Amino acid sequence: MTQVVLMTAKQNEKRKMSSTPVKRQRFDYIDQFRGFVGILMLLGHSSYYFNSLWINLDPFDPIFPDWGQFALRYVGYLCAPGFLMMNGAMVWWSYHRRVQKGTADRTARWHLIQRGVFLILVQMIWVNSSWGGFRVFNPWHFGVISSIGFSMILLTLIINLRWYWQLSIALTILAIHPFLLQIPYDPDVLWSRVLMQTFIDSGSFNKYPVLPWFALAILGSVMAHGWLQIWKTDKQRILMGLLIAASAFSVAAILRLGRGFGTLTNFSDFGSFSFFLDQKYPPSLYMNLWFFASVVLMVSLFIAINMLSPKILKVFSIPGKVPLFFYAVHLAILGVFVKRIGLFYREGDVLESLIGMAVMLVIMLPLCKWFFGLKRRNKNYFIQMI
Amino acid sequence: MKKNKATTIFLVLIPALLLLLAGCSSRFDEPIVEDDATITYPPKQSGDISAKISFCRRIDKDSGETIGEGMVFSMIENGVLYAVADFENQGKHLNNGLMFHYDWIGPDGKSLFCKQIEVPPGDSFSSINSSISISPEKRESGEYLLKLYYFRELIAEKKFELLPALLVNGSVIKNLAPEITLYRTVSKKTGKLIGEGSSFKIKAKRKVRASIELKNRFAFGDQELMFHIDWIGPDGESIYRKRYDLYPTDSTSTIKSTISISPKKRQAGDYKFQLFLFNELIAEKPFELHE
Repeated sequence: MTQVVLMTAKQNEKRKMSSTPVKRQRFDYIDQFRGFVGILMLLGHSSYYFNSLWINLDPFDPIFPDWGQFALRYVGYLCAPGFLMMNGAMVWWSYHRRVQKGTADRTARWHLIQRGVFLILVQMIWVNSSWGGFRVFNPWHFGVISSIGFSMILLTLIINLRWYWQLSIALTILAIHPFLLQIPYDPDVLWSRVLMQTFIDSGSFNKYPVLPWFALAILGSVMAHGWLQIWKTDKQRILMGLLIAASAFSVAAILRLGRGFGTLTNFSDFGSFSFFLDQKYPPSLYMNLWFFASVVLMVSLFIAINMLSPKILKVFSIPGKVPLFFYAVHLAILGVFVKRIGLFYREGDVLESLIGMAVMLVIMLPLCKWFFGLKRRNKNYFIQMI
Repeated sequence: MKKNKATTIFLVLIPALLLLLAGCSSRFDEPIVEDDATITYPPKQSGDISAKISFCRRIDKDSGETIGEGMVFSMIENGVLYAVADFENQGKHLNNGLMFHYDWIGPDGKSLFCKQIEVPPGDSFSSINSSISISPEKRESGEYLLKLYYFRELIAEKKFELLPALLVNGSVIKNLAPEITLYRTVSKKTGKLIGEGSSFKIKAKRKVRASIELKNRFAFGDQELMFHIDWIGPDGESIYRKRYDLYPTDSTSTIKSTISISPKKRQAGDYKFQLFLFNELIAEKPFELHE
């Protein structure tokens, strides 16, 4: 992620000099989409802290009183796939950019591994405790940030492979994962819980097992081949993106309508809540394909909007340039003020969740701008890692 | 150039809009309050599933009939409350199986128990039920809510109230003033009791009957009265026990029970007939069986 930020900054400088529209947009949509996903995540967290629905909501088996609550929860489903895919794309870009610049292969990989380990440590040391406002230090479980970290580390093993080999690996993992979920284990036995929930299943130890999310990170890396290298114009990126998204949506819909392999829960009709709400923890094959398609579609949408009016999406670049900072700080603020101090904790509804998000954005956007500036100026190892 | 841009945007926006429309609700937002106080969210498509909820103390194992329906219940030790959802149009949707959730919400608004029920494809059903304990040690008095979800979408909800367990003390017993009468039979012509007393002769096909008249049975408002009777043999062991729940909607104020006193079943000795309210003994009457 750090490299992308630097690249974007450099590119922005180039853009100022050349002012060619194609260059101006080249990586903006990645930052913007990442920022958009970050803001969706903030909305999801705002709902988690302010929305009374969460008093009773079981994220493993959700039920909804109305469309508003469903929509509020469902938009958040884009976040993890969005982050994993963007991370995969940026790992691919960062590695190849460093190697092209003359960095040794091993050094380029080592840099990514360090960053993966750093993310796992951030999950354990900061994120886990920040949910409750640092009332309890609880390093011994994993989550989405550690899953991104593990995926980064694993991606370094296959980062040199051609896109079709990477695609094959991702699809093989996604196809095998439903069978792996059938491995019986006792969640009360520590070693089996840790092993299974780190890599395959979801539970109290980890809701984001590495395998399915690693597959999405690989798909991000595959898409990066197209977005950042093969497709030369925005029009190509949009059309190819649409084609890939449509194909993935179709395969996902066929799997869902088949009600068999690749789906884990039943649904009533096409287009109903339940059609879209297959299992998220861990994601079914249908959910992975559906949200892979959604991410590709949204990126295409961002590129298209940038073509029409580059200013519209600019605000998303602010958190998108420092996504880990945005994630870690907004969660800590919500954890301390809402959960720990008890400020409107789960007293509201959909509207209050939206207001909470708006207030948090007012706080977070200037902080993100400040931190991005600090990061450009300060070459401290930890600041560069964030 | 502008045309190209517009086409591109159009191409992207259409699927994006389709995505935004994803997950349309199949229910109207405005609920309807049914005659039985079930709040239902009617389906947008006619012929889609709808449900009404009823609460009861018991469900007859053989007939499936609900016993002790109501919306106000007294807590009782080891007591259970059932929620039964009766469906309409469920038959049209059975091909692929169905999914329901029962969510029991306590007076504090927190879920006490959420149960997912899956109906396998092709399985015929007209109602499904769920139950919770209403023992005083597990629940507190107050207004509760049951929410019923169909494929994760709220389709019906209904409130009920739990009252504190009735404290059975002297004044309650005085208020009820139960009067036990033991007799042999009733005259078919006059309706009068025959063989009233406390001593009965053991004889083939003969029976002893008990009638309990509750004087102020309706003085307890919405409170249900959970009785049981016990016939005690000469060895002090129960020979027959039965539960009688009187609900505010019941018009009766008499409890009746009968045992056979044929020689094959009984032996001579001192017996007792006992009446309990919420597991507390409130009246008894001794009687004798002789050869």
